[in-house]
Amino acid sequence: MATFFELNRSALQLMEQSGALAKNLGFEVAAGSIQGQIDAFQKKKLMVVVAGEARRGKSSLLNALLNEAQPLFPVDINVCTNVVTIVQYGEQEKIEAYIQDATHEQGYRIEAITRERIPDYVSEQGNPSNYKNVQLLNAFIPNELLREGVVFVDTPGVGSLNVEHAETTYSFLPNADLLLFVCDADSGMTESELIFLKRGYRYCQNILYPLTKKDLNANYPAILEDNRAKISAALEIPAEDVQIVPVSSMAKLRFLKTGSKTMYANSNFAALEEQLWTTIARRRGEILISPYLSAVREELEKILDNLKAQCLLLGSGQGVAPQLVEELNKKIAALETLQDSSAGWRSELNLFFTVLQNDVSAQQREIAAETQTLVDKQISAMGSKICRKANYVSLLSNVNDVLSRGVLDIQENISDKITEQVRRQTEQSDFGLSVNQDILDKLDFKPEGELQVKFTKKKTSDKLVKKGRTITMNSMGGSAAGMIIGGAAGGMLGFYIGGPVLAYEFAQAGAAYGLSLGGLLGGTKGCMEALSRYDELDVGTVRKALTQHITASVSGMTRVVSNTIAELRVTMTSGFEQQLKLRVKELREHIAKIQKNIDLARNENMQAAAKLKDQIAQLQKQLAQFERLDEAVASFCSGEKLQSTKAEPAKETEKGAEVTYGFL
Amino acid sequence: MFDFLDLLGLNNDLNDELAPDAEPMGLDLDGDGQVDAAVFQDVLDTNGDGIPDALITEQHLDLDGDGIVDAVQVDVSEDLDQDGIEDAHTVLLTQDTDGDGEPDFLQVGEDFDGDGILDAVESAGAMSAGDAFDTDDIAVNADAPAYVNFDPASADPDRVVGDPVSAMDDWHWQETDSSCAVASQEFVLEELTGREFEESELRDLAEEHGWYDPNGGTAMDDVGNLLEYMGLRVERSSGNSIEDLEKCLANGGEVIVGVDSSEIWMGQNDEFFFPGMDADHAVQVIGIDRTDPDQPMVILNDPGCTNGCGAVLPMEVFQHAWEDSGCFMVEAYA
Amino acid sequence: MERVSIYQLVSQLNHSEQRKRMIPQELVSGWPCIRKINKTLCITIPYYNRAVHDGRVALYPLYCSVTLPVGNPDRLMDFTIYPNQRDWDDLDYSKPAGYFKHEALADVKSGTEYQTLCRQLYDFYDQMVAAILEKKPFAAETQMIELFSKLMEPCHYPQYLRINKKFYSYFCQL
Repeated sequence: MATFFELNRSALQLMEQSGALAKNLGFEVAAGSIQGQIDAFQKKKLMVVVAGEARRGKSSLLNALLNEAQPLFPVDINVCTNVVTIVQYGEQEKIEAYIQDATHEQGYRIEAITRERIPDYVSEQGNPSNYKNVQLLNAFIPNELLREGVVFVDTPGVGSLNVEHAETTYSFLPNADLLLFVCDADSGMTESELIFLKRGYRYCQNILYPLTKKDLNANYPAILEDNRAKISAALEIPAEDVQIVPVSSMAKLRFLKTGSKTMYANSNFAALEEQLWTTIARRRGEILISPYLSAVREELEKILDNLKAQCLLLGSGQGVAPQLVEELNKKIAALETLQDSSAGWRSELNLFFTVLQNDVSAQQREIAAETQTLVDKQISAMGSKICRKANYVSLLSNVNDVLSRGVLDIQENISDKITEQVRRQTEQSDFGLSVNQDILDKLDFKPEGELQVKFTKKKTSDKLVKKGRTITMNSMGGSAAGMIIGGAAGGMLGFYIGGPVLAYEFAQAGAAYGLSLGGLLGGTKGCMEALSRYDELDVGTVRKALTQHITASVSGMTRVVSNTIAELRVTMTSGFEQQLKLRVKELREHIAKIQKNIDLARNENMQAAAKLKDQIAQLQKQLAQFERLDEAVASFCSGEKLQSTKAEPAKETEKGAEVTYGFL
Repeated sequence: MFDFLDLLGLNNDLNDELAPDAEPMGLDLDGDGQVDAAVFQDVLDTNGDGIPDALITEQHLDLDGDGIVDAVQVDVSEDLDQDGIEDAHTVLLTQDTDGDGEPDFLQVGEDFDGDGILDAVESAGAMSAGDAFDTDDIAVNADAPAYVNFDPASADPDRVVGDPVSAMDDWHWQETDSSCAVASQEFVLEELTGREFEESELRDLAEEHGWYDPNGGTAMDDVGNLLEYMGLRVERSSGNSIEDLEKCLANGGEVIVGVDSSEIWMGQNDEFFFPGMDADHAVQVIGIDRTDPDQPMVILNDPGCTNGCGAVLPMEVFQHAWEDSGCFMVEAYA
Repeated sequence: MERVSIYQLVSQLNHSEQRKRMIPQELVSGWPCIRKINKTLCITIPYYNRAVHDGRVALYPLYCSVTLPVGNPDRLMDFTIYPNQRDWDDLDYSKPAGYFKHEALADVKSGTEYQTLCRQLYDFYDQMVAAILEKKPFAAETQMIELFSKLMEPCHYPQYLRINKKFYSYFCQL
């Protein structure tokens, strides 16, 4: 863990140095971009979702993991969480409950509460059936472990009796960087837990399995192995890949209170924490450090190109520089034309969104039809048996499954099409720039070494697209899900056009928007409530209730999707415009620098050349550091040991023990 | 009128003209952090009409990276009729090859007719190239330090096997760093068929057939394929001896061998060395000179260096370099 | 397996029929690497072109490599020509990758001295292979790293890393 934090700090330091260097060299636009990357880098968070059946000890586990002496999450025998709680770092402790409220513009209001009152909002005891309509709890605590940007999400218990809870939890999984699936040593995993796990695995493959309450059952190894076998079979992965860690949250909490080392050892939290933080660290390095380093590095490389160009021009003198300036001016003119309100790309974009909307509507109709067919089929198959709670709950669950898969498909469709459109648009506007080699050739000036003067196109975008988060949207996820999910499409977009900076801004926009989603969760709950009110059900009532649920969900989905597309239409247009403006500004900056050198009097050439050479050297040194840090991050993420500068020879090992070689 | 002699540095006035106006620029051409060229540029009015019509570029180069200028190249580009197109170009290269501070090598190249091809190149000093020849490039120094070139006047024609003088006409410097085998085959083709060939055409042909990869070169087994393609009779063999070479030449054949380039280019010079193991460079053997029976020489057309035309090597040196390729040779007959 | 001499192995390959058929004759062999393909200990030998430009030795990017089992060098395990690989199409083979000799060799003044250093490195290779075959630790590791780092040409280094990052980054600390 220490090494990771070092890497993080080194990355931040390197980026800050680069920003300062860019500024010193007089490249304002680049310095601005770099600062944007730094901001986004610092804001990035890693999400760990804690899920599992109710009463398996999730909340205790979290309390223990966070080392909070006063427990954050309510734990009592009769208490069972029914609302999603998000925990992240804040300088000051602040806990906010997001409560559904139709009278508010966004559809919800925020109430600030204290730690002691949390149970009143998130537990079955204090808020039975969530009658208070709490959508989510957002807690900011000054906890050291969270400082590096990890966010924990405590979810309500899943299981056959908690359909709506399950859906809420599912909605977080696509964005989870790590899933802690909690089981306990009291009894083995149930069928419904495995079902949840199977579905969850589709969204998130990084899973750790803490096995809690090991202190309550001396025979826990048997349960552990049994679980391992079950999980391995259900997920179709090798048993060795299933990482189960037996722990005792009680022991850890007692250690926190008393400081007893024995307690700590018994708790076995060291093993869990080690696993947890190492996995987190690796994911972070991959997703959260590398893309930013790449983006900042590209900015530096652009500057380097410009400096080299200036150097070259100093050497060649007549003819070349004005021609180069002319080229650049032409490029600016082209970009400015694009900004015109009558530019072709605008109508093209509008058309694109119209087509997309139609497409998506057709998909939605298909989903509605499919679910309806499912209900009809099942009801005809089961007849009156459908009135049994277990059966209609199972059917409802299946319906939700189809609905959520459908939504995933829609979202994938949208994101694919948008990515393609963005790519097309960026290509057409030709943000790249290259200088005509012929001009330089005619002068018969042939220095050895690099001659090309090219302002590089954005290549990092490809890497970022691959590493960026996949988009998902779950209609039944309700509020909190929408928070990150609604913005994810925009986030993807931002990545592509302008690097992680814009991504973050888009995500913010989507977040506020997504919070007003709400309601869809009510759909399932309402359906369940309606049906349980009857003493005696008949098939007709069941069918009606389910059909209503489908209709409500689909229309909710439609509303959300339409709004998302409309918002994307606006953000994509303005995002593109913003990029155009930025490029123009950058080009003007480049021209200004070149112009400066053309106008230099002859006898200032030598000084200018020396100064440029110096600047180039500085930049190259800085870039070399990027190279090294990239290596360190990459090898850390892939689990290899970081290369020490002084290799130590392998020591003589015991007879029979295997000798390993660091190079083989 | 501008005096050609001025260029040779024999007329000090030129230097004076350049000095006051031109300021040198230090440039790091290969990006290694060290300044390795100072370039002066100035314009000249050669015909005295008040309008500048010649551009002089003087490059002070530090070729061996020791911080001391060891070569000065002056390019004069004239545009007398002011039409924007160069009419004549002259190049003067002065070099201090032995590092004693005194220039010891001089090479002058001229393009009189403005066709971009140097029409005359003369050298004087430590290294000599052949006599006037056409080249598309401005004189560049890619000489093999160990080479001495064949001088027919000093050889006894009865004691020379092969027809080196005729073969030397076909020589040219290989156009790319990977086409020595193509160039060697070109020499053989020209000698045996009497026709002119363009190396670029032969390269293309070889590449199409998969005998030549511009990024890599020619595999030894494929040397000779071009010759066969053109209808010559070709024999390939290993484990040959000098006698076998002589026999081929005596019978009117032409022969290409593979030799270790490091050995033949550097000769006794231990200060210039290469990384990597075992290269085989294709050269054409054009004669064996036994004028001095105690010091038999092998004459080559080596496309790999600028002074490879009729390059003469002591037989021992050649033998050693040839052994590294297993004494491989490709004989061709018309 | 008997004592293996890597220098001999490379030399033999360079003079073999295989090489005459497959690899352009102008190329020289570079620094090999050792890796395990499943249970077979193999050696990969890269090749590149060099030329003389203006009194300096120009080195072209690594062109191809041959991989053979150390214990059975007549068999081919792999043969790759890099300019034809997608991952390598960012390299320009029409220009040198750099020049010899590099800074680290500034104190090496003669060909003889250079050859001695090269032979020494090959000796270290031999010791390394022997250690692997005998399943003992490689005692001369630190010295090999020092020498290899000195001899490795910086302009070729990134390409060597592409061929076998683990091996070359371990031994060449530039």
